[in-house]
Amino acid sequence: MSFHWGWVIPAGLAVAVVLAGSVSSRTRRRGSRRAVQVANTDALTGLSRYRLLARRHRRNAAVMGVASGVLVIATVMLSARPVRSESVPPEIENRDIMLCLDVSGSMAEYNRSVIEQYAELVGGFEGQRVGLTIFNASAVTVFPLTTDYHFVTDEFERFRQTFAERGIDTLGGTLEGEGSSLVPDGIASCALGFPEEAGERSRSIIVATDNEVEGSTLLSMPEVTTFIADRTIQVYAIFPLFEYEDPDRPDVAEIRALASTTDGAFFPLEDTSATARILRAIERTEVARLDAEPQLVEYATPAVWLAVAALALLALVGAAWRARL
Amino acid sequence: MRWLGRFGTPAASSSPPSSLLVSVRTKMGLPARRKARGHLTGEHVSVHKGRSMEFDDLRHYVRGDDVKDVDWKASARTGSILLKRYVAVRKHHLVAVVDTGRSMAARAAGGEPKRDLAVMAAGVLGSIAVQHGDLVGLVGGDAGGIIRAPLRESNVHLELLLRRVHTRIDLGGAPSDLAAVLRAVHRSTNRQLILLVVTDDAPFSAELEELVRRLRVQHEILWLTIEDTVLTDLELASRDLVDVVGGTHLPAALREDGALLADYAANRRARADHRTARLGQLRVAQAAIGREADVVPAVLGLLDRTRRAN
Repeated sequence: MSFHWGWVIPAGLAVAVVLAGSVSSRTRRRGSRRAVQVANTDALTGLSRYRLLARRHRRNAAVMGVASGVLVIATVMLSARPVRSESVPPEIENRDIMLCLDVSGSMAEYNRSVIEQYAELVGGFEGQRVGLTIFNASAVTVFPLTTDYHFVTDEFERFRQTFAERGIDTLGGTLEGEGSSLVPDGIASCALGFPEEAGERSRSIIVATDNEVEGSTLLSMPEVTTFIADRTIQVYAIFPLFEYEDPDRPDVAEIRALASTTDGAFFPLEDTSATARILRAIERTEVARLDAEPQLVEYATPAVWLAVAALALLALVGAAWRARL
Repeated sequence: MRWLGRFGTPAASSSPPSSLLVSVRTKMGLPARRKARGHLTGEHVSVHKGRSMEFDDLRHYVRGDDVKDVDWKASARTGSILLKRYVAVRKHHLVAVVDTGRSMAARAAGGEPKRDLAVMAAGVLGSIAVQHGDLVGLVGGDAGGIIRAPLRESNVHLELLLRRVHTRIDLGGAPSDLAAVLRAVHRSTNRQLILLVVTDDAPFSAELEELVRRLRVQHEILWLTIEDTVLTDLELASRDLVDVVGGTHLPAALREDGALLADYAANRRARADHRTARLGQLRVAQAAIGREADVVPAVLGLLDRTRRAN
């Protein structure tokens, strides 16, 4: 725990001590000036009832003293603004990653494992901006590019659950085009999810698709490849390709071409090392590292001291009530 | 005529007024320099019965009486021969036995320091005695030692004696030890004395009782108790109370409990009753006072009771 205004603590405590000292010495002086000198008080103090009351009084006074002290300390601490500081990489690095998922019927049987992989990827990102777009006949942005990983994790988790429950048309809106599984259009939509200006950020699309197009697309796959390559976006493709299948099928070749043309990579779905390799590959794609130092971000954490202050106040009030002050 | 310091000024400073005796006399209702006995006469003459060169009464002539003693004027008025009767000179020895312990510097029940009441009481009795030509002495003291003043017959001496008491009783003084004072009285003399014991509400111990019993054999004892502050006095509810001996603070919050007030009142009463009973059994004239206004009546009352006892 640290404090935003650390100097407030010594200053506040010093002020508190000085104030308490002057007040107590003043009351003591006034008290002793006004004190009545009496004698033979054992007629009162010797009574068992008095001893009982005195014990209670002392206990109350002790509780009140300690509680006031704690209250003052807690107040001073709160005035110093307790914070938890975290060193956060500067706005982040400079990579944008769009997760792109083909939610067509043909992918239905694979998407569960794809989503697992994506979850792994999201967990592995640090500082990158991440977005998720799904497409079938039309593309839907699940969440746009963001560095808010809490949000990303939450959204991704929710997506995963709804996907598990509802299957293909997970969020609705993915069946608006003519036909289904319009892969080139979908990938192009993902590419459009990036800001227009590339600036100093590297941009990657991770797409999982089987490239099984049903219906007429607005763009052909080569057009999309050029479109994406022009925008210096890398495409990492995850393809449900199995060993017994022909790796040179036209649909596979198209995606391979898309990946290689854009300096990305192609991974068969069953390649368990895909995730790690994609992460490594993306990390290498530094357009220009921002020189910013990691930023120190402070989160206010008054909870503990507030609780302490509240407890002290409670004890104080309780003791005062008991003392019937 | 200018009245000097008054008794029991609120400042309660330890420096005495410029003349303690003047203060005492003022309170007694007597102008300081007048010789006349004033309105106390009727009361004090009875005290000093059978004393001094004074004219006492007239009686009829019997054979053998000295003709010099015939009161011719009275005889002429009454028609029979009357003689003046004088009482043999016998000086009384009054000793103020004052507890000068620190607790006597504390506040009395009425608000004044107990010291002022003690000085006042000794002053009143001493003053009456001096005016009648009696001798006044002092034995006082506390755990720190005994102070004495010899038996003398003068206002100057009485003033000095009162001053010593006044100075000795101090918040910085030693704690009370009345038993030591009484022992000192017991040792110091074989003359018959009138003792005015001035002390406070401290418990009347068996030791004190034994000492009083021994002193009573020889001396006349007047016991004046100066009552301590009633700690639960509502007037003091907002004030801090400090015990002059232990320095103990008695927080106001502790003086409000109903059961405690009852216990305290009972305890005080029990102590006072015990003292009264013991002293009464020892045939000691006693009075208890809490305020300045009570001093003169109390002292005169004590004298009155002594006279009746004789």
